[in-house]
Amino acid sequence: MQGFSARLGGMLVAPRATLARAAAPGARGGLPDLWALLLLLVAALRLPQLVAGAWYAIDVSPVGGLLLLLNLAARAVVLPFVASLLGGALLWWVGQGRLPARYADLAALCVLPALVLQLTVNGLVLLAPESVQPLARPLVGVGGGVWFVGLLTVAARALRGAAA
Amino acid sequence: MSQRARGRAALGAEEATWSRAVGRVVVALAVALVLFQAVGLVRDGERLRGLVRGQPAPALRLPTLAGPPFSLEQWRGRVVLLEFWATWCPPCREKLALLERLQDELGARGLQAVTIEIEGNRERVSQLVGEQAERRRRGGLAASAVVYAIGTDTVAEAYRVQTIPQLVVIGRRGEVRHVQVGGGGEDELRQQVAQALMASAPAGGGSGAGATR
Repeated sequence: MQGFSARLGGMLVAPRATLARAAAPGARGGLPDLWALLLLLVAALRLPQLVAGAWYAIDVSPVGGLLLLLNLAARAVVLPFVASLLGGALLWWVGQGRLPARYADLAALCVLPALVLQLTVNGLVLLAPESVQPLARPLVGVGGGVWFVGLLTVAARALRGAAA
Repeated sequence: MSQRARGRAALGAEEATWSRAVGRVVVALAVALVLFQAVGLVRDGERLRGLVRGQPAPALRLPTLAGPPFSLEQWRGRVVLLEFWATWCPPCREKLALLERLQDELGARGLQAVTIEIEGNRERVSQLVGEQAERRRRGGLAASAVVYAIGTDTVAEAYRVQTIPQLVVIGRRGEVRHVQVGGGGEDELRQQVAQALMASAPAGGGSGAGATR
């Protein structure tokens, strides 16, 4: 059985084997890993905004502070979860319903490398001059999107192979 | 166990070791970034408390939709009402109409409303402002004196914009007087603008109210 760091690293260095293990009966992880990495990501990249939101809620306006925090959470969470749900639906279609409980988990695993890219690029950008910062968003968007689609294709092929 | 099976097992074990190691590096990177930001927070905590009432408003110099660049300095002596917005945000667009109404009503008393689109989407801003101008023409109103500036993430960051719309009332001496986040709150905004106009009104004119707080 693999832990969070092994699955996370596995999706980066050996995605085929990691996805095959994750698709096996009794395997765990996927959506919980996505949650864990998103929490890390928000804490690592948005700590000042989290503190500012909390300060605003306590010192200025509870509703305004809550709005800030909700906005922050939504911006971090919505896209990865929509991607994993859409990816899960695609895998369900490809896998012909063999693993109904695992499709969203497999798709969630496919999202992890894109989030690692986001963490790395934005982490570097925090240390880089301001002129470099506009490059981060397209790089993460395009790179992460391509990586996710590629991994989803790998997962779909594995499921199709298993179904055949 | 055959040689091939042993080879596969060895490869699998090596792969698992690598996977764990890489995973731990990623987690360590995230933790390092949290610590890095936490150190920044401790060192520069006051900066994160948003715009502080009474403090000087951060300097601004931005291109506008029509006319010369906008600079906050040029409006010193007037009350400036800033709106940070984006074209895809419906509550922000509602606020644009409110800003135009306030500018119509209070411009002569010393108010200057300025909208700052924070994503640099000049074309869409131009289209929306054109539609708004058309509505005004149909309603028999003159062209609005609201300044439509085009900003960037950097400007939004300078003003600690976490969510939009964000409105900032800046007093005649260039100090932050009020920050309002989100939709609604027209009455509160009017009250804050009125107070800013009354406070330190220039002697012998401008505000028309002639009162000081």
